[in-house]
Amino acid sequence: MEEPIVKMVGITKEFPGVRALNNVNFDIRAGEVHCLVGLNGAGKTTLVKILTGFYKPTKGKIIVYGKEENLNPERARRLGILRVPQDPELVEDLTVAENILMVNMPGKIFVNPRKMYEICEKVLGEIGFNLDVKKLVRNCSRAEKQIIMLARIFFSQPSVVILDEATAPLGIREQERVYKLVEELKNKNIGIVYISHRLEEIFKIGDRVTALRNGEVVCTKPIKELDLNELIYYIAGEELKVEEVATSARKSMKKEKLFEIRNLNSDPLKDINLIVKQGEIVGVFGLLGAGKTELAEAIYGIRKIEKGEIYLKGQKITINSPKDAIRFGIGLLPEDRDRLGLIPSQTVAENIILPNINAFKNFLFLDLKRIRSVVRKFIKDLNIRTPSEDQQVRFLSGGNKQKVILARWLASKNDILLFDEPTKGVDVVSKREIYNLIKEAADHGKAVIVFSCDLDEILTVCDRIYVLHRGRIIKELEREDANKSIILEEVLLK
Amino acid sequence: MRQGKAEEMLRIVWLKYRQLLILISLIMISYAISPAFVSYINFIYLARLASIIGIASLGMMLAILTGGIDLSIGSMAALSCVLLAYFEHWGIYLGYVEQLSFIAPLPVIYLLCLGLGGAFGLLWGFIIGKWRLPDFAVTLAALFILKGIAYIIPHGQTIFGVDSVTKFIGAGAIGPIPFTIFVWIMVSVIIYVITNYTSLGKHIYAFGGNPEASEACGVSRLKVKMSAYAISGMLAALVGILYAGRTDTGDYRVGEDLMQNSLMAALLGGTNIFGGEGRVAGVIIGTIIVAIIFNVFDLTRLHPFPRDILRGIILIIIIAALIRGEKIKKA
Repeated sequence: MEEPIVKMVGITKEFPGVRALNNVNFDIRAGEVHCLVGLNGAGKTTLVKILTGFYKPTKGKIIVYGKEENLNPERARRLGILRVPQDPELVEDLTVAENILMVNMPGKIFVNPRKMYEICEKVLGEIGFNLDVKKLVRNCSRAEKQIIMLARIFFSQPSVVILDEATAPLGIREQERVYKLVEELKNKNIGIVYISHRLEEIFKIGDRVTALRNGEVVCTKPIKELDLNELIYYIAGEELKVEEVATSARKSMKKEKLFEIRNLNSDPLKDINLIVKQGEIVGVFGLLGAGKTELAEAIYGIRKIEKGEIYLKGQKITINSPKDAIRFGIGLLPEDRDRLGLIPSQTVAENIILPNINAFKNFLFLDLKRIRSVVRKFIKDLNIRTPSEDQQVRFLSGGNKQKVILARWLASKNDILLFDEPTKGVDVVSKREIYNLIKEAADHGKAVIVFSCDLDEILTVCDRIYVLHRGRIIKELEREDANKSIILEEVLLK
Repeated sequence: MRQGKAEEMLRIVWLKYRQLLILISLIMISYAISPAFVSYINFIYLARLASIIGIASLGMMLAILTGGIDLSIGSMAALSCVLLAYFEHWGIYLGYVEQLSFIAPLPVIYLLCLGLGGAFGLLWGFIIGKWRLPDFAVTLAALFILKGIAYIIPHGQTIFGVDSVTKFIGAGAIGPIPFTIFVWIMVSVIIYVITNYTSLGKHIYAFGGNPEASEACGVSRLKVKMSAYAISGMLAALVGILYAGRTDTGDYRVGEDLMQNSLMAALLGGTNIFGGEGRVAGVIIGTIIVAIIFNVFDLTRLHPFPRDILRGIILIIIIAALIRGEKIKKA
């Protein structure tokens, strides 16, 4: 066996009060996809940050090409250790091409814009993505931003590429292209660290897998020697059924119409008609670019509605801003939780009560005690992993951040909940918890709309499914009548 | 291992109390430079300077917390200072007068000054919030507008003499303690309560931390900006009254360095210039640090210009210590 490119030996990392990693051994070989799996907060991100030089390990050493290195971000980049982060780090006011070529602009002093756009279009074409390279990143969707991040690595000379939840925001077609891209990197003898919560894709493209649990390595094995249930056992430390039994157990109570949209138009959406009953979970399935997030934002008042009516309990209502939406009892869990969802500098408690804060007023002042007790209850019920309710949200892991937003709306009196990609970047255990919470909310009479490009998710939680394609609803299905192939046929063949 | 633990402890202490530690070492260094630093007379001087900067910097902090900045603080203080004297010399030819003639009873004059500060703040906040213009540009414009008004009202002249109550507030003392200190404490308590115990306070922090997400949670940009700038304007007007009392004049030139000083105090106090983070206690410490830096060299026989150079250098050193301190937390 040849010497690995990078070898991490006995890595321990302590933060004040927490041991994030404990004696972790991890290596990356050339031309290999080494998958890194674990629950939220298991230490994956910390390990990656050590590998890319952002954190110094408390103990342990890192050997790159047989030489012990004291990594810092600059040194790691020089050695070709590149990370495609979970959350895109892009300059919003520059174009797609400028962002992709940030470090490798063509031309010495003056940039030749035409050449720049040409090169970019060519490379994007080669890796199979179509994207307007002159578009400002500000106007790109989350998935497009992810593609930009991926395209970037092709302009550097990487030795190790770390893909952190690279497919999480992507639709099925884009995912397939990412797999192909990984294959290509492999053929170039580049080492790949692949972090993902989607276990199916690990079996599809992985060579080796390392599972972390509570900061320790539980196993490192070739993927061929593992099966799915075994891997889940390593990750979770308990047996879990892979696929939840579908909603059949949930008796969808045929109650009254709570919320209705008639002929809604808002670029790119055309003539959307949608009904949600009380206690019902409705799914809106759409691939990338179908207009799923746009629909959620239009209902919530973030996006302007050009034409169309919204009815609440049979009464026509007008929503011009999120403030109006909240007043009418609508809550949104946004796809881009860092931009539209959370205040990173605020505490867990403050984030949870934010839209609901006036309910905690005693005359002029806030009842901090009551806030504390309500928030504590939700932290416990939702199993949010945080040292206390006073922790700043920026220090939470992805899945826990998601639960904070979920708690925000469950804590409110709002009874129409829009969940846009509720489990994006969330581990298997939290995913199951979130599904149960959604169902529970519906059982308590809330109307839920789940917007998702994950078909399994839609089929797991929803009672009724709308299929969105290129801005139009092309199909409406009851859960009993729906299965994967019916829906995929609709969107892939039309 | 044991050594590692001690190091860890030190780091945590540094992280938590670095502003206080810097303040204490600054006091010791000042004493070493000039023993006169620790004297009653200097304490009075320092206290008055610190109170004025302290009150203004709390308003500045609020503006910064919303993700903005209030550049008009100095001009507003000057306007309020001039207005107070003007209202007290109502109807008399402007210039030196021996007799005061009030436009209204003194409390009403105070309310007029503070109210005008608040009203102007509301106006800037409205422009920033409703029209979505940058805070920096709008308050920069406000700086000129208010300065201009403060100049025009007394026709560019200084109005001498204000009433005795104002003089007491600005220059008097209760026992050994200057009265301005009590004003500063009162303002600090009010701002502390607003930031920690009201929904407005939480909204201000939230908006500064992430404006888009806050608006998606129903936080009103207009309300946040208007309230923050109104309070800031009112506090600046209060500082103007203190100036009038301290100097016994209505002078449009006062407060020229108030904006820089209060901004510095807010930043040294740990307020995040990008908004969303900052505490009253930190800003109070930051204020004392700024006051000491301005005070200590005045006690030496140094020529004024090298004093400014030294002040600048010390500022960079302190800011470096504070910011680098933050970096340690991340590593």
